[in-house]
Amino acid sequence: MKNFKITQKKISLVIALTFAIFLFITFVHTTEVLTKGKELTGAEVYSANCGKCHSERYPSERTDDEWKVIVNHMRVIAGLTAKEAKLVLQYLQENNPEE
Amino acid sequence: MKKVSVFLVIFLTWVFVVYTPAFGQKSKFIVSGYMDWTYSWQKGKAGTFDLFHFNPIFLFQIEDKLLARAEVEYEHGGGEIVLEYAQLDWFLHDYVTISGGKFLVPFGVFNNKLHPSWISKVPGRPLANDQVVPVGWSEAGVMASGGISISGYSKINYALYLVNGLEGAEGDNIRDLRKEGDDRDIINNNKAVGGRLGIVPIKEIEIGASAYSGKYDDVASPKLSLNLYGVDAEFCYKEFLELRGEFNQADQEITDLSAPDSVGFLVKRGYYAQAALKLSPLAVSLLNPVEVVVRFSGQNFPGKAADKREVSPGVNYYVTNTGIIRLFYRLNLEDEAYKVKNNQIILQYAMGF
Repeated sequence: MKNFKITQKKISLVIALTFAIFLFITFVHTTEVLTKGKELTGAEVYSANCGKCHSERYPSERTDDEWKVIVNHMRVIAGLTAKEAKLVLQYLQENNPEE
Repeated sequence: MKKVSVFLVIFLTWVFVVYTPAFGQKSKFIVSGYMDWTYSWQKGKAGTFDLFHFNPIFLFQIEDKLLARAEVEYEHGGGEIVLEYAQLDWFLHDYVTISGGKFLVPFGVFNNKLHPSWISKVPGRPLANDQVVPVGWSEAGVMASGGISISGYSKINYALYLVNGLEGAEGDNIRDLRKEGDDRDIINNNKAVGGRLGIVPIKEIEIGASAYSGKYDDVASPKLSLNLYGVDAEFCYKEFLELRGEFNQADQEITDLSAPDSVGFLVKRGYYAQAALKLSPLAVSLLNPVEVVVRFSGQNFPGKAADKREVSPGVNYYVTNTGIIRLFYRLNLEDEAYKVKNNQIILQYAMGF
């Protein structure tokens, strides 16, 4: 079995990871308190996720069926949760004046 | 690695058997994509137009849980034609999508999310995503990815992949280790593993960490490891302010240093930071479509000859929501002993469709 050496680099890594986890838990807890009981709407999910990378795509640009394909495509690229993908699709389809 | 491959085959077979009965609805096919043309001017050289990209994307929803998609890249007016990716995505579970084929490697966010010219805020790649982590970088293999909501906007997203991996000559530029024309392993049959974990603690922030590990030398029994590490972060405020950055490091093992029998690593580091501010909150109609952007990027390699920095200030003008005219000045800075006159003025029209 190889000797496991505790180096300064490894200690720094463990401290950094611990700090990152602590920071994340703090953020999540704060968010939970602030958003307790609030369900996000499709418009909110769309704005928070899609607008981070590219400018707004209008619901009228595609048919309802096409949006379904595009949202699935973006679900993988953008790491959307299944629930987020569903809400974004709902928002695009409900606001599509062509349909 | 053989055990991993056997496990994967068994797992995918199981997935196929369990989920096949759920299929059987109408399929849909659409075409999307992007293109851009550029005029670049550099002192002492002829200014030139370039139809840099014409990249159609084909999306085929076979069933509710199965999506096939591919992107073909025509670069420089068709001078370079590459299949950027072609993959099947299987929405296995709310938290798990299995992708197989040739896919863009989710290392950081620039390679698989931001590199299309109508999305990238600045023409050209940052230095962190050129010689340290190549862009566009796609690999043949299998990937599991997904997102898990925690509360409100908080969530975790992840991607884990097993791929053929980068392969080439010892100590070669990492960009040149990509298999662009043929995605098969050539001589080196070692597989590489990697992944990215992204955390969205609040609406405005995402932080990610990426890693990749494999052996890269093009021999039958490869020995030289190539490990990539990266962190990325973004802060987006109300769709008009965007701050983002990435730091990438490559530890590339080599054996033929000047000292006999010595083994060492070429440590290559790259980074970029980018700020973009849309002027629409000023409510001045003339400035509504304008966005001011600046990007700073750099690379540090062993020795000073390859060290570079880049500063690109510029303006984006949104003609439509997906059509952008960009005007940028790219200031390229090398080490004092290796200075060259290569600053550029770049005019670009990029369009997503």
